[in-house]
Amino acid sequence: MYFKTFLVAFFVVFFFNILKAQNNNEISEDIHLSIVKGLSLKKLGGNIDFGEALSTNRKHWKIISPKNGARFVVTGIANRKITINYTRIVTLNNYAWVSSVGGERGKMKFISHVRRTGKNSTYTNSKRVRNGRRYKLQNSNGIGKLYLWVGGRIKINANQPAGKYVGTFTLSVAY
Amino acid sequence: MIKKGKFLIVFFVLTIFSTSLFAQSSASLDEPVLISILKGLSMTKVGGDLDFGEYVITNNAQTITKTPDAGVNFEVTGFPGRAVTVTYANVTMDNNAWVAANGGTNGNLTFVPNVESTGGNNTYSGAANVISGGSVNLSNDGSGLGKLYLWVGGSIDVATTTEQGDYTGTFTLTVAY
Repeated sequence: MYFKTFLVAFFVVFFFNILKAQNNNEISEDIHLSIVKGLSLKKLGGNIDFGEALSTNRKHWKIISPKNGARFVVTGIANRKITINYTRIVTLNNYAWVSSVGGERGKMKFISHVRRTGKNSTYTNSKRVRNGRRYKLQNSNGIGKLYLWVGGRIKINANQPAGKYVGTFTLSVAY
Repeated sequence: MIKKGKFLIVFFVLTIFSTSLFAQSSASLDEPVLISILKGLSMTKVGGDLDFGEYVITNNAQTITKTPDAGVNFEVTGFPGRAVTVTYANVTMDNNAWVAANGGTNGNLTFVPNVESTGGNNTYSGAANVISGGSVNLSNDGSGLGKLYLWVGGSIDVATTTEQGDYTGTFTLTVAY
């Protein structure tokens, strides 16, 4: 930020000196520059770790509510809309675990659930975030903020092969 | 000359800013999703028993002992690497059924278990004592299963005043994730 300001100042002085040296050939030009706050996405805490579940002869679900999942904050230009994209369905597998321990390979599906609380860093009045939709960064002392909360559910099939299952959920934001 | 120089400078500045803005116009993060699926715990008896046989009451109190390797052996199967909690308790034995059938005086004895683990080894070597409520890891058997071998012996104190008869009781061993 300081570097950019310095650079602009440098070129203004530079131009001024050149024009002054010519003395008899003045020129004026409007200078306009919009400084735009870069978009950032930061993890605040939590995780999407379902812990342990028993494999039984009946399918069942495990759920992590967004409130108890992973928390993120998007920071950027106040009142500017951003597009939020995320992995709606993540496929987990136990391949790495089977490679080291043995056993049967298996897959599972995680269905994500993303909610937003605007500029509020606590989980109150949350609203659903739909994949690919645009949402406004709310003004918080001149900075645009949007708090995001990620949970979801995972289906454990009947006789799901044992192991440690891993997958990757990706969250992206863009102006 | 001046115009050309100005054009280059403006172009240079715009290039710097546009690159900077482009780099910060989006952001992305990866978050791992994790779950461990455990197979249910099972426990089977491999062999042996807790039959102390016959004992003749003498004028001296005695402690009859069965070492774990001479007692009963169990195999626990579950999730490799996962700890299980082993619990058990002393057993009160009585001769009530024997007295009902044969007459005599009712009496009680206490069986004090001695539980040992050999980890994933199904032979009795390198055994370690397992206290009730203690935690022991299931060893990987190489096929994605966790194994634990438990060996149960114990002792019974017999006083000089112990009533005669066949004494029975039930020892319960529990393992849990």
